[in-house]
Amino acid sequence: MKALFSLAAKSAWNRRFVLALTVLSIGLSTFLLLGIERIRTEVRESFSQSVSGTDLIVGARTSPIQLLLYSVFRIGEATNNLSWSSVQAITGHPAVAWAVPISLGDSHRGFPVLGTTRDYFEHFRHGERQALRFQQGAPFAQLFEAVPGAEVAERLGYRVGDRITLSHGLSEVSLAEHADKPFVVTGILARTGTPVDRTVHVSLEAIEAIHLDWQGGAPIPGFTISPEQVRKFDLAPRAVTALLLGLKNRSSVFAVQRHVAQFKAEPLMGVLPGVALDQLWEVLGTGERALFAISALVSAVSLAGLVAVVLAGLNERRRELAILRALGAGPRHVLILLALEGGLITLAGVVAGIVLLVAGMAGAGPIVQARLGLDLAFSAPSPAQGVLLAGILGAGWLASLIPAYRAYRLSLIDGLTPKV
Amino acid sequence: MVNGSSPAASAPVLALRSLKFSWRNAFADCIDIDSFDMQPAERVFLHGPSGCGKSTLLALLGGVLVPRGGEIRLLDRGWNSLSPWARDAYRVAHIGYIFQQFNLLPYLSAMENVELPCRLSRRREQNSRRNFASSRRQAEHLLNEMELERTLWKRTAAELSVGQQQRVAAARALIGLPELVLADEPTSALDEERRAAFLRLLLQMCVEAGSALVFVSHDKRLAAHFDRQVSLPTINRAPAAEQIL
Repeated sequence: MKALFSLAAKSAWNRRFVLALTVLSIGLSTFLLLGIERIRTEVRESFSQSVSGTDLIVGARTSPIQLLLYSVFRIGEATNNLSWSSVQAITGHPAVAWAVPISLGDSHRGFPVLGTTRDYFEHFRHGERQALRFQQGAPFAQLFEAVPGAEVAERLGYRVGDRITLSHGLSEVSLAEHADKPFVVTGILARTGTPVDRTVHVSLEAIEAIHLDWQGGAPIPGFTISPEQVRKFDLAPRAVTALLLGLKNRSSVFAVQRHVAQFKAEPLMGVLPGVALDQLWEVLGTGERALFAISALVSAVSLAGLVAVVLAGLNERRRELAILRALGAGPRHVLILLALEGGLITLAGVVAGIVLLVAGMAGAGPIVQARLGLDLAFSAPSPAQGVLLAGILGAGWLASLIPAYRAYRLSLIDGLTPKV
Repeated sequence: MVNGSSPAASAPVLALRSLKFSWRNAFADCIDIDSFDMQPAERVFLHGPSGCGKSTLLALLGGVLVPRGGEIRLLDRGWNSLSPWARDAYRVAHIGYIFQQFNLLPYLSAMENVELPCRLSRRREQNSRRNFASSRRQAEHLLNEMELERTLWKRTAAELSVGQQQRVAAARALIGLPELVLADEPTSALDEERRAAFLRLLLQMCVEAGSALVFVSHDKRLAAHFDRQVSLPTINRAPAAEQIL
């Protein structure tokens, strides 16, 4: 047996170019499969971790998904606002521990602007109930101060002390600029992998202030209020887009939700972020299933490729195997040799795929993080990925048994009168 | 001698009785031999025109093909009594084979090719060790005797000339002192001068190893070098070969 293994090693070295191509092919398939799986789980994780620690999101009555989309993901626009008096009334509910109003509608170079209070930085949670952290500076304290998220700061190259202006509306190219009231960056948030990274945060009063001399979505002709004069006005917000609530006791969530739904002053609704996220994922899950289907197809194609390559190689090795048979190697030896070779090639391919994945993540991870907010840093394979790897190995080995069986059936007569 | 029986009376190394063989789907036998014996160390020249079934008979003698009827005994065992697995092991233990196209493994060196049968058969390895201390020593001895320069021993088979490959193939057949060497037209690719030199070396080495030799060729000019010559068309009673190797 030892002699056969040594022969197999020498034979493999003799065919190193073809074998390297096979290993590379399996490696690329493994890379694709694990990469897609990683992106799939990361997308889902990133999605489900966009908001945590918030018990209820309150907004004007609409669909729960829509409220979630604009209040958490900054997608779409609110159908209506909720008045400041309603915000104060709900905040005063005895079960409410904290309340963070948010106001949307403006943007900065394509990134949404969120008007809120300093409580936002204290109470908002993402991921596993992680608080927001500052990579530079501190929350806004004065009127015209802004705190961009990590991606905004990185893409636009902002540092603390830079001056920025906001645009009216949410379009990337806006003709309506609040250019007369520039903001100073006082802090930059650390990366969260959530829509917070793509948001510019300012105070609710600032949102009021920049709209004092506006009406109907446009500046009032011939009427401007300077930033200095603006401070003399009452800047208490009249309405906000949504209200994030944290409760003293989670068990009271349905009572508060009912309270909000039965609110007399205006039609409001409260949604549980977890429930709404699940509903939204139901809609987006098609994409996830498509990715999974792609993974399965990639596996099937790569394994078919493995069989084809080993079979093609077998034809080349027909004479070599027959010579070995003629010199005393039994058909079972040949079967074991080819099965072993197939197993080792698959293993080498899988290892190559993991190496490629690690290298790819190291190379492209920061770019993907910056562009898509997905954290693709390398981590130990999850149990699901472990099963996937074992599946590739097992299937690869089984695939190599097909040519091995064919070699087993090769007539010994081939070795005595080989067809060259 | 031009018949299938050996004049010697000692226990034959190879004995063939009432051998019948036909290819699958063929209507008639292509081999039908009543009797054929070979004595130890006997050198037999088996000849016949191309397509008369020489290679088929060689495959039968080597236990590669199984006869439809009759028996072939190598030493004390009949091929029929062995399982395919046991036939493989028995073949490599007792038979050295020189192929028409040499069939060296191109990625092994000349030395490694020669040693290969000892790697696959414990008996051949033991024979080598008993007579030459080790298979490596016997391989060196054989390559020396085959007049292959020492500088070529570590070259891969693919780097050797046809004549050199042939001598390596002969050394491989003889290592481990097999009782029988089957040579299937091994000189067909050589010119006349090299053919004579190779044959002289092969016969001399067979004598030294004590191996019986069946040398198949259609070139009757070589017959004089052998103890006995056998014409296959003469001993084969099959009317016509339906399908010949």
